[in-house]
Amino acid sequence: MINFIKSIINYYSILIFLYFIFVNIFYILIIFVSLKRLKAFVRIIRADMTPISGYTKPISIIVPAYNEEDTVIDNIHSLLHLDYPELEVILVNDGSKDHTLEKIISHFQLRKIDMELNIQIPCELIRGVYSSFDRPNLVVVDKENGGKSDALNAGVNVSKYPLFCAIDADCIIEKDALLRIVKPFLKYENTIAVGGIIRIANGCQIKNGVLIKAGLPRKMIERFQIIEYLRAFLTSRVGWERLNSLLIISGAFGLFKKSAVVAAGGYNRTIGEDMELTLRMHKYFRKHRIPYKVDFASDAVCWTQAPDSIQGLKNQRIRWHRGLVDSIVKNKEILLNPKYGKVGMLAVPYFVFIEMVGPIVEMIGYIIIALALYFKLLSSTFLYIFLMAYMFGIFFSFAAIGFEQISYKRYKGIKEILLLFFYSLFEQFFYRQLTVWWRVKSYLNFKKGSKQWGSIKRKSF
Amino acid sequence: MKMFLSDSIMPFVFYCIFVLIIINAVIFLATLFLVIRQNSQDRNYSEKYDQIYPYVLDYIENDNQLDRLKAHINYKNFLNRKIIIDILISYSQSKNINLSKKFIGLGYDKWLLEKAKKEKGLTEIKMLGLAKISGAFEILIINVDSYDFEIKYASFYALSLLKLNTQQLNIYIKKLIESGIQRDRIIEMIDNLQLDAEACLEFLEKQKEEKGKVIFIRVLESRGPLLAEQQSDQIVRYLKDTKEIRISTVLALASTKNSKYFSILLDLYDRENKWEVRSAITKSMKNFSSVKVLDALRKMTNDKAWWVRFHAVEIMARKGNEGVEALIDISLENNLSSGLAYHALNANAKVYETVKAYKGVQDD
Repeated sequence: MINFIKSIINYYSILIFLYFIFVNIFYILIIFVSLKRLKAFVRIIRADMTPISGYTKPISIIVPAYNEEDTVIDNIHSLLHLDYPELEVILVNDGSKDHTLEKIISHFQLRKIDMELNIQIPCELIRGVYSSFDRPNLVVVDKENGGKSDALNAGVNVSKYPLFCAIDADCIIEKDALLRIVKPFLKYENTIAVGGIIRIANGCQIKNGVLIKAGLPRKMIERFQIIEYLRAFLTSRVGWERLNSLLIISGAFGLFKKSAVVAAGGYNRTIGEDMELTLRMHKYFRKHRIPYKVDFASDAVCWTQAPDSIQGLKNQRIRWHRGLVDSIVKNKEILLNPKYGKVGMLAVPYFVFIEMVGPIVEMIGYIIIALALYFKLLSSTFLYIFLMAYMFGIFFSFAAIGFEQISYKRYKGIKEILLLFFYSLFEQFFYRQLTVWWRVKSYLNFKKGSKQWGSIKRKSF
Repeated sequence: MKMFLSDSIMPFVFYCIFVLIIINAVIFLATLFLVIRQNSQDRNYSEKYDQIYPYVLDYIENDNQLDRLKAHINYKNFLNRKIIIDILISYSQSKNINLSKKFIGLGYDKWLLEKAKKEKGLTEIKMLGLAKISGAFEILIINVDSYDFEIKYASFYALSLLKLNTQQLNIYIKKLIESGIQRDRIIEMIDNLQLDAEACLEFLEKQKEEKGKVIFIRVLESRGPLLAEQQSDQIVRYLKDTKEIRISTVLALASTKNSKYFSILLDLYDRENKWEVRSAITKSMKNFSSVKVLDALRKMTNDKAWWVRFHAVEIMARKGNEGVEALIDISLENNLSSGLAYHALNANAKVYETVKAYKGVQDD
């Protein structure tokens, strides 16, 4: 029996070691691609001399809201004061159980209007549309509950402009963020979607819905998330964009060509609606051999509230991972299909074999370690391998912090930078294992998983 | 773990650990260095800026202040030069004036040209454009053939900011039209050149392809009422061209607000089978104030295309009391546009307040 366990430990160790080497080589390659692209992009935006012209395309901002009474007023105010020549804000109340709708109607003095709706994507019943003469560019849609995807589809149906920007109700986007995120649409004819960068608002100074100064939050759990976000956006998404294989346009802040989204069928009712839509758009345009571009504007910033409690973070990560798996499963024909080019042969396999399967491999690895410890099979060599894995983890975090400093430098103080480096050292212990466990757990509840809104307790900005 | 790890693996592991420690240390130190350096540069820049700004402002307003500036500021110092250039560019952008002579006075034109020749980067291209250095044409026109789209785009844009002679203009416009740049951006760049209408018409005449014709007609559209009648008459013949050219021509003629074109556009509407062109004609009705406009719009509310009807109703809603009355009539009829007319009335503030007051009287 013990020999059997020993051989399992042995073979799995080989497997996990090879998997680890493969994954880290891939990460390193993506980091190099991201570094090159980020440096080029920063040079482009610093040398940009195109002022606002009359040819800027008008945008409909769609904000799906469910039980957002604490933050929604601030959010709408910040959107209405954005620096952009022509926009409309469409707040979609998705059957909230709190006083979201009443608060908005009362605060902005809205009235119910008759509106001819051009239903291009099916959605739940729209009970009413509200606006006012004083603010004709604010439209509030009240509808039956159908989930975030459904709310976004309703917003698309109500919108009147050729581009729409999907924003989360708990987010604040910077005043010039729309001007930045729209640029790829103005430069490149084939652009169908552009993602902005999401940064964590916890610890920042925000007044009247406007960011005054970026800062670090106090809690360790929030600081870890800042490092994670820097890794995700600056060392990964930038690289995927360079390969025109970016699979995620964040639901918190993304700009889309309406006709492209409608052609792809709109948002599906799924948890990871942002990734699922982007993947489907890739699929549609590649299948029909229509030239297209999915871009990433790393200078267009959206600030969001990150969960500051273990429970909140757990809910979020389980939801994200379910969304990832759901999106891949719904579009599985793309996987390793040369018909879909780099998306099919590179991006989707990455998400399947590294992002989806990775947590399972890693969790089994921890169990193997526990077994090895119990059967006294661990040696100092294990410690060296663990140290190597740890140093790789540090490298990816340090690289992200370094990329932040060569590009946007939002955290200006030496103290803040040192804190970020310091917390990177500890992220690998316990926090990483917790997130891995939650991602594995998401598989266990997958079939029972709710496709409704996830929730974290919102706090007023 | 013991069984698996042979001697051949462990050197690799040690090597990785060693390399990663060094790399991580380098990243850590380099990042700290960048932060410290950036903070220091920002402080220096800010201090020097406050010191230099008054001298530069005086020089901008009076050429005679150049010697004073040179006496008090080391204008050849790297940081000082950067600040002076930033101030000059920022001032010229905010006031929309050409300060190229100020650059020449300081000898910065030669410096910028040499730097652009050597480095061929986006920052150099930007500075040449914004500083409007006339000698920049030779450098930038080479860049427009670059395989790097960003260099190409920035160079085209920078060239549009310069004062070009006729020969340079011909070369530039030919390359611009043939470039893969989006049409709207090309129109914007040609607008930057501030060509007079006669020059635009000459270029329009030379265009063989649809793209080029649409671009120049759209540029003429932006001239609007400033276009003389004999100039706008020259584009009427484009109403017989392709769909996109017809649309652009409709919008350009309407932008002159010359009532002479009202009947021409209506004639086109009657015989036009493309709804996009009819829609453009409908939208163009907002530029005319003839008594017959409302009749024309009424007719357009019966168009078979939804967008034509929609625009007809929208324009009517902006035509004052007569427009509102016409919409009320249409909303009470049973035709294609009744629903649209009703919605337009509902969205009209004056109508809404009137109906609200009327209902209040009724309830009393």
